[in-house]
Amino acid sequence: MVATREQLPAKECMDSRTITACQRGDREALRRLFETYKDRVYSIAIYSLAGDEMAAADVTQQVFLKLLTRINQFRGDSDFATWLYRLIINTCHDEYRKRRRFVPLADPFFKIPSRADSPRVRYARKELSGRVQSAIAELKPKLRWPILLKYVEGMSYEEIAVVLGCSKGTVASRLNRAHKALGKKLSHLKDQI
Amino acid sequence: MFSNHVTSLSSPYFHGELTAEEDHRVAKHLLVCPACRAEYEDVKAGVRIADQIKVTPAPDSLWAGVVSSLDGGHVSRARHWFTWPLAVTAAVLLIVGASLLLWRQNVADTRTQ
Repeated sequence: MVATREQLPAKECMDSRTITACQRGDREALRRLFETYKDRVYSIAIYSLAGDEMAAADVTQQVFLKLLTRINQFRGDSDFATWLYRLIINTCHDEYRKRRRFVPLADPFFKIPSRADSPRVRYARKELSGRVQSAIAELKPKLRWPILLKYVEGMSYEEIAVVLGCSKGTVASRLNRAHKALGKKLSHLKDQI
Repeated sequence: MFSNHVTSLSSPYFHGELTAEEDHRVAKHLLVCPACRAEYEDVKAGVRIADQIKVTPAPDSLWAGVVSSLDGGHVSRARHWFTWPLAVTAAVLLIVGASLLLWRQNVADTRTQ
């Protein structure tokens, strides 16, 4: 079952006691941290890497290794989610730059379909999902990150601005450009949406 | 009236990120400016695309890989999942091949006796 954006934002789930426990090396707290953020990290990675599930899993693992080994560096002078999402973006960006010269091996259409729909509906959904993943991965990074933070994490423009270290107006401008680019790239699929 | 186009405000207007005053200004302007209205429709099309983004569940095996690395063990890279089945297949083929050779040797020995 795919999680929805309407569930409680991850930043509200991660309290200071859990973070302190993680910094002490409490394995249960580390597991709770992982379970809280793993789906969002994986989702951002998979959309950054055009649906390559193996690469996204690898990047997700790297993010958590960095997070768990660097958590003692978090001093509480910024929101924990802000610190985390900067880590995610930097890791995904590094992987994207390493891979952008190579043809992606993953087939974005290769997804396990839902059993509830007819074959035709499942195929149409797979195609749309794959096209959206590819279109987002093709966006320039500075347009891609606001889109993913907005639509995966449900962040406000203000929150996105804090993560990216820019103004709210810049976020608005980049989202404008990203929306127009996506609409133009996938205009032929508008009847399926 | 047309000197204050609102094209740059399409996305924040759609997402309800403007102040009440800005929101009202954009709404009024879109009623009378075809260019800005067309731009707004382009942004709306992109929003519909972006709304297809779903939070995807991460594989269950990831935590084991993270723990393994934290404990200083072998770094279990998720992308190398295929090496284990390949190793098993190679081992099975080796065993079958060795068994066939032994059987042929036994048959040859029996005939010469």
